[in-house]
Amino acid sequence: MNPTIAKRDIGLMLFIIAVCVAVLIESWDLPPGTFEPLGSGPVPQAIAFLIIGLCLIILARAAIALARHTVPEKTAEELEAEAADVASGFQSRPWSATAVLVMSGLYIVVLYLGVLGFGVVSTVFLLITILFLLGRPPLRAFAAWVTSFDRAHLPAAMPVLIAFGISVVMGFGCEFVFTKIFYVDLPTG
Amino acid sequence: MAPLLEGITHILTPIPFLLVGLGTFLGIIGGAIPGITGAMMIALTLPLTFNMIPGNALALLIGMYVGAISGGLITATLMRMPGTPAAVMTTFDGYPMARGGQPGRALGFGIAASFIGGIISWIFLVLVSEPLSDLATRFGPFEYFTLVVMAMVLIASVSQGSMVKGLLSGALGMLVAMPGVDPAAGGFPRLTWDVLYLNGGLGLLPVLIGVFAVSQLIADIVDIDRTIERTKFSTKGILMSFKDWKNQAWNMLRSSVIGTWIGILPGIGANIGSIVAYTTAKNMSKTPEKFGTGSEEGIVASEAANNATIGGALIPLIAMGIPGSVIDAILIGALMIHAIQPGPTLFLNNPEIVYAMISACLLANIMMYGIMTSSVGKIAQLMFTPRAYVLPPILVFCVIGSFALNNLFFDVWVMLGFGVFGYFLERSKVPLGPFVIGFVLAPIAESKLRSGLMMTDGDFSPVVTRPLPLIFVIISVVLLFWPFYQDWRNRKREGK
Repeated sequence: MNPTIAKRDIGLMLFIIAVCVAVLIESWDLPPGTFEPLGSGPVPQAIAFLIIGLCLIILARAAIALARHTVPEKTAEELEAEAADVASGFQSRPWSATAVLVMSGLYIVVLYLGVLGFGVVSTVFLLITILFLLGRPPLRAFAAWVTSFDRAHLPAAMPVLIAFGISVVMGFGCEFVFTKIFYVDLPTG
Repeated sequence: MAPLLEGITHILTPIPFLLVGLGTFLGIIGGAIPGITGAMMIALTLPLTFNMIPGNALALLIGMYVGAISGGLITATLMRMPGTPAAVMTTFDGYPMARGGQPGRALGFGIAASFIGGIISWIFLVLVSEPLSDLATRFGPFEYFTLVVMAMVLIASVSQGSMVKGLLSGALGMLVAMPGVDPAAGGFPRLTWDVLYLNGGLGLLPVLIGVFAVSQLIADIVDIDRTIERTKFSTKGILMSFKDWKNQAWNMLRSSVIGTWIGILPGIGANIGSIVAYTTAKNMSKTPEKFGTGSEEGIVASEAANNATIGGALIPLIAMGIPGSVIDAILIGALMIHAIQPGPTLFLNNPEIVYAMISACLLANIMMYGIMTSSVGKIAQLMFTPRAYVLPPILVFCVIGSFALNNLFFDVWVMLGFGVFGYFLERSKVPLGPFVIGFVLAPIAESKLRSGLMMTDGDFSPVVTRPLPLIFVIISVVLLFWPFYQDWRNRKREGK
């Protein structure tokens, strides 16, 4: 097992075991069945015990892999994919995903508070998220285009204009379609 | 035969016809965009169907199912990136053939094979579902309980990667289905930690959207800077010649039957079907050395099988209420949301729904062939849409989709939470398919077990004294220990 996956496994399994312990504590005092002998508790308890057992197996394997420093042989496809990533200079963006999740959390909170309508909040959220994912170069080009009105900057600034268009159409469009056609009670602010 | 004809006539009326067409078209587009899976699209579309009549809703979703599995071959062929997991095997030969200057021909083989696979599995769907449903109506609670247990073990044992992680995923799905009011205990809530919102349990849609859509979005954002290899595209050779049809006929038929059979097995989806058919085609080929370098047989085997799993997987869903794949688990959710009880009685209580589903499957396959052969060039352009434009709008759809059923923000948080959890599960190579199937099947298994125990006054022995439950238990035990036995045998051989 790859040491990185082994470390991830250990963290995840410990979390799952903690959840299962909480389930066991919560289900321990459930009353026995009224109409049948099993009752509400045994099934979730059995599943929780099964999960803990499976987690312990995975934990043991991960611990052994870490102790032995075993690294598996990679398949031809994995090696090829890695080589392609190195050649293209690809780097993963886990912090971008975290930032988008935080923005999503804020988006849900603002929707919940009902200060502004769904269309406005969604448009702002979409615009910020798309621009964030596009990165800085289009924003710089857009700023240059706005300040100089030089047409040469327009192609590079175009993604910002597209982002604005998508945000407005999706934000207000979704509000209209879901409230007027599909009768979903979206927060209107 | 008459109900089937009625179903086909109904599906050819304007609204169902348009919905199947729309579903198939959107499914192909979703399948063609890397990072958007069929399960994700169907989960996100489900809230749009709340106000539709059930037959129309299922027609739309089944069209999307067929479209999504088929659309994956476009990116698999032109970008070596499977649009859906089911198209992984197509990358091995589709991409080399496209790279070798025959992209149209590579796509043509894939589209034709998908069509034939879909039609052959549809024939099985028509012939097998009703007799199987008749048989299933005679199942008692213990038969049903052991069947569900067997399905769970089967799903875990064929999950890609570690079997222990497959089992863990299924069990986690079952655990997530436990909170809420327990109907068998006189409406007493369990595992709610005094949170009022948990009395109704964790909703199917928030959990599904979280696990399949949000987790995928997180993974897509992490990989957003990954560059995509392009091949030049032309539609030359998109329609297969008579000679090609003749040469590939046996391969198409064999792969379609394999795909249908794999689809019928509960919980096993299109990706396993295409792997088995591809391996079989390679083993039986006169030119196995060409596989992986642009073999026509390889493309045909993979695509015929993955589309054939659709009809195959609908068989246990319609006949027994057991999902044949992850997408079928979502379709079961769709039936329940529309207040239709899935299971053996579906044929008796809602024949119009059953035949609408079967007819939609046929029409979607025909439409898929038409749309793909006529517009694949334009659809292929969508693959290069920057993901920064696509992912945030999908996130907004996720929020709407999880909010729409109960108008509760609690469901939106559940969706986000399960999205993060699903992402970490995938990072640790824990498959997500068994999770969702466990989530859907756990309440059925528990209720059948408890009603069985009510009938026998707490006696578990029918599990091993009645013939069908005993067979299911034996199969489950064999499936559970077979991988360990194989592992032990391989080590012993290596030791020698």
